[in-house]
Amino acid sequence: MIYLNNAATTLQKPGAVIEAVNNCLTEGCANAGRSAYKSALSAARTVFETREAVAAMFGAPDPLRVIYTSGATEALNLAIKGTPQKGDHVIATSMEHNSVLRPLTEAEKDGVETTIVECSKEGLTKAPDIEKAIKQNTKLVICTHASNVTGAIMPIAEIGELCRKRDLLFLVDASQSAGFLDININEMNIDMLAVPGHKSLMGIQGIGMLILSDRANPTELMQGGTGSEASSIIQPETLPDKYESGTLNLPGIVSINAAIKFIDGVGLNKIRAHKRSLTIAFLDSVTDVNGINIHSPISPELTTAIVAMTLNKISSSEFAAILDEKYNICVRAGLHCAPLAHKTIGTYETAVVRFSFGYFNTEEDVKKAIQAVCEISQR
Amino acid sequence: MTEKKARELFDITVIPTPEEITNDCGLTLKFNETDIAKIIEFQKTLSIPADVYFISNKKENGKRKTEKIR
Repeated sequence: MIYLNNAATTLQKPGAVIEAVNNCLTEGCANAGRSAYKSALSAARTVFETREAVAAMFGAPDPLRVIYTSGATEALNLAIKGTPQKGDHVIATSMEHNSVLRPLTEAEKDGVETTIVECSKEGLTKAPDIEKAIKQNTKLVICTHASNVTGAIMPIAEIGELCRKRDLLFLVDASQSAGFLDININEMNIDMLAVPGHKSLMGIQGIGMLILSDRANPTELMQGGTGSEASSIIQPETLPDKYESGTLNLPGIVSINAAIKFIDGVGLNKIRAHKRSLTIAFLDSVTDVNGINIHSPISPELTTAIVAMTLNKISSSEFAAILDEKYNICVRAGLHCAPLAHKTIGTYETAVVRFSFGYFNTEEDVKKAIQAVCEISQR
Repeated sequence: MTEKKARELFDITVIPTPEEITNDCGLTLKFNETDIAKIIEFQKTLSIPADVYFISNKKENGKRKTEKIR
């Protein structure tokens, strides 16, 4: 099998991640922060050490402002439902995933006003376009760091600078960029960064983070037991407890800990270079083939390791089915939970097939994918 | 974070928070030494709310002697 759906989840995990999760489950997966016996303290220390590792990776000054969630979707919901109030205005781009668009639509029912800024045909946005949408009551700007449909990379630092200048909170969806692009929330003026654990970070599913700057203080989504201030029936304001009710996902947190060590060991630059070289090799071979249409930016600096493609003669769903059945290649066809993004790039009716390369893909994988795509396109 | 900092300076043990302080199911740093001035200096460096207590090891009249120092 050749797995080219890494934008959805990375199927192959580093051996160190598998080993760490295995050890956690076999040697004792205690409840962190609930007791002071040795295994519970060990769990609590791992939880904190991982906060420090996450903070260091993303330039967050305070590890206590790294909030564990079940994934990027919960992180985005926490930020979106917890920040704007009735009468506030929120700006987002047309390339956002439904994990941004759906909570925003819900927020509209509560009196939050929204503006969706249209992106270019390649799925790129510009800071001046965001600036034009700012109103007196604008509270929050939301932008994906990179599109999950085309891979287009957004000018996050520029938008962050604009938001800070205009005293707006800035939420970035790093679902496609964390573990691929350099992110520094301090330098990029990001107030809330939503990070999934199971994509390019190569942790397991069910863990993610919302990283907060000292300007962001969203209302919590849930209340419950935190292991702290147990005599009070009021949710504590202390961070991260305010946002982390219930038992933490220790195997998930352990996986993030091991994954970050793996990424640090290999080097993010090296990981990015490998994925980019695979993407470039793929693009170079298929871009000019008759009957193939590419919907991602062609310039490698403008995109992640994603290539969105349609064929003239074969529908996207059929294309993906043939890749699976005949060539044993896994890709994702459809709208990728981003309907406005497809409207933006003009593929809402046709959908696209998305190829997304991961660290564990090889040149051989790419050669086979190129051959398959070329053969199918000539049917 | 506080535990890590404290371990660099003191002989400590992490224990369940004594009920003489609160019934909350939290954690407390027990200092296995008695240089109170040094402990208070350490407390002043913390960025989180923290109190310093003296609690006797043995119960007297059914209770341990508890005193909030700072």
